Amino acid sequence: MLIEITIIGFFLALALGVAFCFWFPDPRSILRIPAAVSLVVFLLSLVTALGLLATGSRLFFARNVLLDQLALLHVILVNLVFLFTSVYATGYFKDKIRAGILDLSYLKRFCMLWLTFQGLLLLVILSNNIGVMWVALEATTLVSSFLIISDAEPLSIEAMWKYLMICSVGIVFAFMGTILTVAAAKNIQGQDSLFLFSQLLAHADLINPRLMLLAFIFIAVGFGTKAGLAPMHTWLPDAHSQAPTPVSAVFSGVMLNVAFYCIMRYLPVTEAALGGSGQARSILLLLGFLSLIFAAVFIPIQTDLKRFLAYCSVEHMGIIAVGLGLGGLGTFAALLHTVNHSFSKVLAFFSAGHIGDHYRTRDMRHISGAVSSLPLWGPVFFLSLLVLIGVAPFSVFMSEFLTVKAAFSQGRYLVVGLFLFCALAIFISSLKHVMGISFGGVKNIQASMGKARTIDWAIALVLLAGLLLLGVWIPAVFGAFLQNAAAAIEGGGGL
Amino acid sequence: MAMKFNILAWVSLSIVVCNLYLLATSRLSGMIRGVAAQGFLMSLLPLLLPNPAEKAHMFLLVFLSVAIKGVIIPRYLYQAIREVRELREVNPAVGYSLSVIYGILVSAFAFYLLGKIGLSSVTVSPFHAATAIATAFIGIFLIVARQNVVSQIIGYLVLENSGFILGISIAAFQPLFIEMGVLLDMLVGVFIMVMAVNHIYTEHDTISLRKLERLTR
Repeated sequence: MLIEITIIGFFLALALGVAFCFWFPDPRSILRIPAAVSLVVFLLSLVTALGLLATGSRLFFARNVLLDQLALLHVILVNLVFLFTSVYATGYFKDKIRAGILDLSYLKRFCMLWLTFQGLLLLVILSNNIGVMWVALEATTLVSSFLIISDAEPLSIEAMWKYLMICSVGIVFAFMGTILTVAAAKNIQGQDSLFLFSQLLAHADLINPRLMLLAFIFIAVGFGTKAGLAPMHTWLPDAHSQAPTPVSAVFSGVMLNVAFYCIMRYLPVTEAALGGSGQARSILLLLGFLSLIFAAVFIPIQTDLKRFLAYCSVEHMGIIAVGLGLGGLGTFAALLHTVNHSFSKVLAFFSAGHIGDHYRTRDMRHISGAVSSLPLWGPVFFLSLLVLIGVAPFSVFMSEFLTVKAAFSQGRYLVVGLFLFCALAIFISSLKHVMGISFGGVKNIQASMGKARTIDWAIALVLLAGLLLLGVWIPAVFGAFLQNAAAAIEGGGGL
Repeated sequence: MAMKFNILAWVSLSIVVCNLYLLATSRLSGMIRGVAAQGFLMSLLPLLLPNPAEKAHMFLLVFLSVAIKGVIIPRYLYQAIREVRELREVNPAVGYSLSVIYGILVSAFAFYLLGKIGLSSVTVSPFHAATAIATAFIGIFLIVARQNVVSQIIGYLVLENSGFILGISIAAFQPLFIEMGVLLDMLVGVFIMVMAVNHIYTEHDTISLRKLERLTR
């Protein structure tokens, strides 16, 4: 009962937030609404977590909601990232308004879309029904396309067009995958239950394996488009670079993960239908390596700071795909990497946004000495990028190491070799970008930003501390939690 | 039964003909008419299913689908091109006769492919799946090969149509709220795309993507 109430609470709080934004008289302080709402929703998700540990049940609302550890992990991740980003956005937009770059009417639209976006992402995660999952993910594309446009970026309309077109095409593929899944599951009794993950998993032996594999290819390509896997990633650098910084942060920090979560849900069904032959995993392995290779080729030639970060996202989605493709320890590593990537990328985008404003350019060739010239966000940029590119002893290094270890223990040395080669190439070129921005003579400072707020310090320190902690020591509770989440992908988790 | 089957064959064929027409015409208004006709024909497919279980559900779906795909979306697109006063696709990446040849080849290929992958065993009729695959190829082609944003929207609609045909032929009837969700998403998607078209037009005085390629690499 407790969990049902908290789940209703999520959507109720977000809906009330949207309504409140609509009627809120003062646009200057409207940004406090998303921040407050996301705090409420985050606290509710903690209650949900406690409730889930107490009860054994995973299906709610007449089997329409599936909330196991895997779903819970993503729910908490979404809510935490939205909390950090909403708080960050209050300061970010205040600076923009003061500088006269941003229209006040923009803020109202932004806040309403922002809360709707969060609600839809949660709906995707919680849905046990593959049809509802698809509809909600498609709706996130539609809602979030408007978040990309802002008056401050003249090219944002072009980025939005690309995002809308490419993701819509991808999502049609995902639709076909959904339909093919239902076709493959025809032998399971009862029309309605064909659409439920829990039923598909329970009766996987009745699923037609060849059709299910075909369906999974469509699923991997379709949801993979939205998850930013190469070669369907082409919308991602544009959207990430042109969108306002808070939007880039949630796109990279959670939207990609949520799209990936859909693939994670289909993977155990497909593997079970195929009798654990590993064909579905090899599709993910292929897409993962394509992403790594694309990132390795394109990162060295980037000049725009946020485009560089966007290609990093392609790389990290590739790493997650490789981890899932390996299975076993690799799945655990992929989930850990999901958490690590979200937090470090959010922090990287926060600081990149401030660096871009500080230097009035995002061209990395014209930015240097950020560590000494920009208090707080300069050093944070340097540190978050070190985490992101996998410097020991931070957490991203840890999850990459576990991925390699998984491949090694399975005796797949080709995977180990290719992975290390790509990771090293990306590491070197990224480090070159990061060093150029962080150190060297300070030049070209156009605007002096207001002093960093206390809350910004708090966000940065909490995230950095977490990323360092997860690198050296994974608390037993969290480790067990991740293990259970990984078990949901590995063995279906016995729904 | 036999007559239904015959009609089904003709409807499927007409959908393929619509595809070819879309490839052949350069006029945007012609393309909109083509996609409206296709949407209308496709909406009729549920009526031709053997032994539909729920009649009310089926008629509601047909009605909504005809309204959205056959009337609302085409009218909205007409309005959009009237406002931007750009009536033709200019300099497509692939010429029209070549496009039609491509269309004929992929349609033939789709019907051939169907026998190969054995999809026909789970679909209601062999025509459905082949029509869906052929239509998907055409939709993707329009998005890739045409420079005009309205042509790309039409390509997206054609691709959506192919998903719908596949859905009808395989899942026969999905829970109603999912079908409604799919149609609603499509409708909202087109509204947003047209809004983007207007934005692009006011900023660049054209709706051709040729001049809009500053974001590369």
